[in-house]
Amino acid sequence: MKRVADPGSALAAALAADARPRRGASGRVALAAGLLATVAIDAAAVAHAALLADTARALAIDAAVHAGASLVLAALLWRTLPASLRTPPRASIAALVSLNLFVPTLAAWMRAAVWLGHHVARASDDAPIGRVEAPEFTSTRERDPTGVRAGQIRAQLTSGEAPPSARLSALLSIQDAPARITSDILRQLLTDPFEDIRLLAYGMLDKKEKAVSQRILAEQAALAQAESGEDGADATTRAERLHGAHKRLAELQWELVYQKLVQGDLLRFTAREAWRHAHEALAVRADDAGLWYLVGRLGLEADEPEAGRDALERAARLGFPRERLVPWLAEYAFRERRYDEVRALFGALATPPDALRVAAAYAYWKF
Amino acid sequence: MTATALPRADSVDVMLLLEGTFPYVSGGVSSWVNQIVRGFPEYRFGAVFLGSRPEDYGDMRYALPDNFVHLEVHHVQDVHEPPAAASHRGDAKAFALNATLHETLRAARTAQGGGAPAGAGELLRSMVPMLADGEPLSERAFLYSERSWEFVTDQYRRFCTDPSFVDYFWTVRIMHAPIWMLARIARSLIPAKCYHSISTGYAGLLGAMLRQRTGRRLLLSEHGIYTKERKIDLFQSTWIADNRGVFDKDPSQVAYFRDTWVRFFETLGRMCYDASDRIVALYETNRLRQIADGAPPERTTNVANGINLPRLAALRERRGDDPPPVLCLIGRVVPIKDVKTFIRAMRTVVDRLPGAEGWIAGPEDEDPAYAEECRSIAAGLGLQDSVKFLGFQKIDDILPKVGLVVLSSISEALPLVLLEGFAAGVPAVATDVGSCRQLIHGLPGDDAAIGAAGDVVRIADPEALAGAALRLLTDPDAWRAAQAAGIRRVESLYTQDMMFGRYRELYEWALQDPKGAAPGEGWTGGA
Repeated sequence: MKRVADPGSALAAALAADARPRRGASGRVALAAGLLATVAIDAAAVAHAALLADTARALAIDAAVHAGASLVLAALLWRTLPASLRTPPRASIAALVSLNLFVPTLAAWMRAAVWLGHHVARASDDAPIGRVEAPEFTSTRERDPTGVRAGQIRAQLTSGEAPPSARLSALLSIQDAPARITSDILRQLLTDPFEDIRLLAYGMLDKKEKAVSQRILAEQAALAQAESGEDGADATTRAERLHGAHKRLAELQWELVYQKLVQGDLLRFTAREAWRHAHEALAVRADDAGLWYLVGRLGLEADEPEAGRDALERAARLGFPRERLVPWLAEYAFRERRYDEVRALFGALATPPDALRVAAAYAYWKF
Repeated sequence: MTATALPRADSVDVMLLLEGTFPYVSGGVSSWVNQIVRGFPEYRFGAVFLGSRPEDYGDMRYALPDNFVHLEVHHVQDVHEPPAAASHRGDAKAFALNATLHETLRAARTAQGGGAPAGAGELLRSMVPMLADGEPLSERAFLYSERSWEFVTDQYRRFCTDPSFVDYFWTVRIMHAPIWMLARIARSLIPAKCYHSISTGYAGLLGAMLRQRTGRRLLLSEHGIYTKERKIDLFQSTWIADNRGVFDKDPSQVAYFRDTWVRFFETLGRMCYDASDRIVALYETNRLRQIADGAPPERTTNVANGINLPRLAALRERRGDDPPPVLCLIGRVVPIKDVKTFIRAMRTVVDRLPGAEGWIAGPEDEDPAYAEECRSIAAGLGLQDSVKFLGFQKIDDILPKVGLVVLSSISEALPLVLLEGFAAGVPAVATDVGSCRQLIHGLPGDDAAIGAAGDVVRIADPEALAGAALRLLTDPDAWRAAQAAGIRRVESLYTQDMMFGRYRELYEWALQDPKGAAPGEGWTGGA
């Protein structure tokens, strides 16, 4: 693909070609002398023909001299023209010959006008800039051969045999993928023998974790302000703000858990924090079905199975779509080894779930 | 940076080339530079400090030693008045040389296994004098000549996979701008008997220019690996544009401008390696990395850091037999130290060893936002009473009171703080980065037979860090064994006298006039 040049680039190209041919000082003097001599000879021949020629022979000689002078003058003038006026060469020279032939010395005057115009224009333009070719973009380039084909990424990353540059490329290609999908492999790469891989994997994990943590810090500040009551808001507004801040904090803490950005003790601590904020928010407004749903999911991580299951049922009573609750209720039932209940829950679904992993569980338990 | 009178001299013995370190930044490398200058009072040292922007630095963090007689400060991102614009054609031969240099560097990079760019040193040698004002490759020729434009547009057409010529053009201009600044420094710098760069990068390129301009020897001592650190920064930076459309984009291809910056710093590294007479790494893994990045193997060597043993050994008298339940991270509060992982580990430590404390002893002014984030995380984890931010502390005051030195860094070279802790009788738990494993478990053979001076865990794993710390703090016998191993290891392998001995050999050789010898020729010391 060749990028289409913009209108300005056509002008730029013409201007770029305007670079006058370079010649030395002696060459310029010789050219000027030749021009003047030819103009003088031509003028003399034309004047003689117009004023003095009294015979056909003399007129013919004058005409021949004029024609010859026109040819020489055209050739000399053509050499002095800017490049943009010298092409196409035949037409350019023919025009100069014609001008000279039919309106004697006009071409010389026109060349003088071009010179004058060019220098007046230059004088008015203070910017000391030259004219250059416009750049071109083409999509056919010499490519770095370290690319990775889709589908090879996990294999490349964990392969001990792939060259580091290929593994680095594979790692970079998952830089923008959701943490939930990449966290495990990034964590695995923290012990990679190649330090660049370790550092990049760490940087990617840290960046994702930091994005959520900074929002948590901002919400904690908002919560502290709402709790202090320093903004003078009325009771209803204050309650709304408290509910909002606690809810957002619960969701953000859950985000750290869901995206697998916390592990071990910190995972349990974060899940407990999310649990606490969710209940603080529900204490202000108990009819938030979405928040009960979140509590239901958190119950699995915070080791609160009974309260978690109750929260899911409560979400259902508040109108939360039952088909979205079923996988979580089934998970609770499964963990408590109530397999008939798992089967019953999936069996009650009218249509198969869309999510692939849930669909697989549905297919297994329903039949 | 405040204006204070900088020491000036007419000539020096050793000219240090320092990028973003001593005397304006504190930290391991700066402490090392300070140690080296004070360790050789018989030599007159000077330094060129290269920083990013003046506003990024405050006052000097170190009192300058008496034998530190000359200091110049330059900033690569400092805006300077460009030369007056004037159109001209440009010198064909000089730009042909420039094209050849770029082809050579490109070929060296794409060749299997990298390696030194054959012939690039010779080309650079002939091109450096052309960078002066009025010469064929002056800044004016780069900025305004037609041949420069033609070269840039040709390179864009042939290689650039990003559609934005505007971004390409300005990337090339911004990237190359410091070269003329470095060339000016190289031309005006006072005479030195030898040059000693503490990194590759811009300081390394200045070293290469000085080596080629003056013919005096150049030493390179790398603590971390500059090119690697730059590369990781660049891969994650958000300021580099990627203008590829949805159909042009191949997610496995690094964005062109990002890759261009990486290649630029790789090239600076190769040029510095090519011009250096001796290339020093702190430990074997880094030496091998230097070779992989283009350093000629025969010029490389390892010189480990060393500490002032008598001063630190005296601190052992001030501590009891049993370990106090205090974990101490000694270092700047900056992301590379991963202080957050230490704080998170403290959550587990405090849960399982009530009364334990985590101390963070280091300045917080280098990255105040990160320090604030660390404080917030400690508060968020309910550790306000257990994790203490102490600011900068003298190690002599702090080491007798701690049970473990903790290093949670994501990258290190050969951290002095571990050696200082060992000498003062404090074992360590560190992440498996740089030479930490070598310092704690020892190299195979006699060193490893000394025993483990603590434990090593993977990076960014608070649970593992806490587990290792708890194992040592709750088992006094294991702790005492680790303490004894640390003391023995540092006494036998990592003393200041050993390090000075190696550098004395390097300096004595480098200070001699090489009389036109090529880089690395005529080395008379040991391996």
